[in-house]
Amino acid sequence: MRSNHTHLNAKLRTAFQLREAITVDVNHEEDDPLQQQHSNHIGEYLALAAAGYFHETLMHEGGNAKELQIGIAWGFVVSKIADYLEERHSREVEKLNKIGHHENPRKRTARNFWFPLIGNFGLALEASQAGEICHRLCEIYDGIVEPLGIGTIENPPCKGPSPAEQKYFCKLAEKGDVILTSASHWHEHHLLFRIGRCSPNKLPPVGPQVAGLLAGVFLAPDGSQVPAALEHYRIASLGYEGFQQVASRGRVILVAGGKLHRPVILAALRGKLASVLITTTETGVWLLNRQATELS
Amino acid sequence: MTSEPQPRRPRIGVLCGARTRHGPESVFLRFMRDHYDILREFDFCATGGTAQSIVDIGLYPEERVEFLNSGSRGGVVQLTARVAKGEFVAVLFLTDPRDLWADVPENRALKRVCIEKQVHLITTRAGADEWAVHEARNALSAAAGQSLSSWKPKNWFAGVKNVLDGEHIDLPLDETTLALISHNQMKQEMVKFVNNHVHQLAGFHRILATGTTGWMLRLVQAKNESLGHLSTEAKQHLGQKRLGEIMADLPTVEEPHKNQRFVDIVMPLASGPKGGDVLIANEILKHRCHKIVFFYDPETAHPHEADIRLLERTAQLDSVYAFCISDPRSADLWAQDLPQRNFP
Repeated sequence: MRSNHTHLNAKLRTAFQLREAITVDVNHEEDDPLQQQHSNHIGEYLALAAAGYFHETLMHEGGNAKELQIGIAWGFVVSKIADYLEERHSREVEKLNKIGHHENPRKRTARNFWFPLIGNFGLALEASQAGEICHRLCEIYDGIVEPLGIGTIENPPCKGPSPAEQKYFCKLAEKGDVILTSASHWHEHHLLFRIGRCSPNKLPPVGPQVAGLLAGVFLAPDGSQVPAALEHYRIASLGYEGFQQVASRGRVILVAGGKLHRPVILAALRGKLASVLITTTETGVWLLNRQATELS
Repeated sequence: MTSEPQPRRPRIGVLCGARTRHGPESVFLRFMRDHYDILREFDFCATGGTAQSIVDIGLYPEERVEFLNSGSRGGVVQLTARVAKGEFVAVLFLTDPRDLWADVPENRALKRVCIEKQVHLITTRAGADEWAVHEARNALSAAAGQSLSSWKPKNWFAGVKNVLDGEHIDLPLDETTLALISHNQMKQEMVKFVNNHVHQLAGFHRILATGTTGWMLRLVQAKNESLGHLSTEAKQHLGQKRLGEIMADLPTVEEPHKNQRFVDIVMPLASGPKGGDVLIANEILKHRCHKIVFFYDPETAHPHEADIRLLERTAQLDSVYAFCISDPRSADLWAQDLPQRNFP
């Protein structure tokens, strides 16, 4: 299928009041939760485009005199973005140094926060990945992007942030300028069950009433929030309103695509939780069609 | 994602000012992302910063992008020379009017040569959208199977570099490239200069010249036996009318005073208005043209004034080591000191 990206991207921007929409052609749009390589295949393509956009955002915003707070979520796509940023770093050291004032480390203008997904039930894998991404970004951007509380992540088994710390991270995250996140659909094989061993009783039931989750926030198909007791698992992330605030003020860059991810992307856009969408062409077309159908 | 070498595709020349490509939603980046479905069918040739921006977008493989020098280091000269050589199906030239550099002679020369060579010049975002949506496919089909017509004269051979690893090398005369350029009324002065010093000038490795000047010099110095086929060749390049005008003005040189080697090493490129000055500037930038005798006519207007300024400014770049003489008297004094060599 060949679509006209001009119209597609422009229509997506208009239909969902996005700051930017980027669509990428991939060879296979199928994603299977049990066959990770399919999702990863899509993710690699998306990550390339996302790395470009994220990097340009940091260059542009970081070049301004204002303090820049960056939020990094977790997952394969986000990790892959860090890979591409690292490749870029090797040839652009001079350019990257433009971010922030690095004469005095105490006066660095770019700060970093992240969403440590830390639980009591072995979520250290996810958590350490998030921490690792932050750590790598910190290196890429010459130490100007400073991860907070990385020690708690790097020393598993950890208990994760205390409720007070969770509250602190959440408050900090709400002040963010740029948040880079992916989205996942909600299914019985989700990592929260498989690796996190979260209790199904404490999380929303798998079914059509839950479109998926965005960095720990469960979403209904209409974009509203589905209550979930994730705080029980000490996951520190932005809340539903937090995402909306950052999206309206700065950039929440949502990088996701593939058939199974479509409902959660649509939900995030309807709930205005993202202001930049980087997705596949077919998903972009689907989102527009679905939105148009339901509005009519 | 693949790094396998792929066949060369139709190319687009790109030059974008910093303001048009800085920022994630900047005009240029958005254009490149929005039209990626068609633009990925093309190769790109862009000045330094612009080329890096294309690669940074993440959608275009690096091997599809030719990196030229940055604009301030001769990138626009390289780009314009490629237009003159007929390498592009379109040139995307986006600038912000607030950019002070937007109106430098190099940029004006680029625009002029695009128009002269009838290469689609895109200067606005709307124009770029229009081209991508309506014309790019046609450009692809038109370019399919088409081979580039050569911009090189028949007797072309490459020059020797006089700068290696940033260091200047003093080349002997027989490895040195000279450029002879003259405009309007000064063409007769150039012929006079060459006739006076032809045996010294024949000692150069090669002599580049703009179209009409080059053919004039070859014809005036051609031995009678080669004049016939040389005239035919000149007619193909200049046209019957222009050749007639030249021949009427050419002074007669006695057969024993002619120099066939000089005829052999003079390489007439395109005429000035068709990009000849730009092609010579490109050779200067590549360190393969080292001395320039440039008889500028200050009393007449030149349609390709921007190209002339581009050539002068290229010779002034700090990475280049070339000298330029621009009046007949100084040229005479200089040529008198050149060693004279006898050629069979």
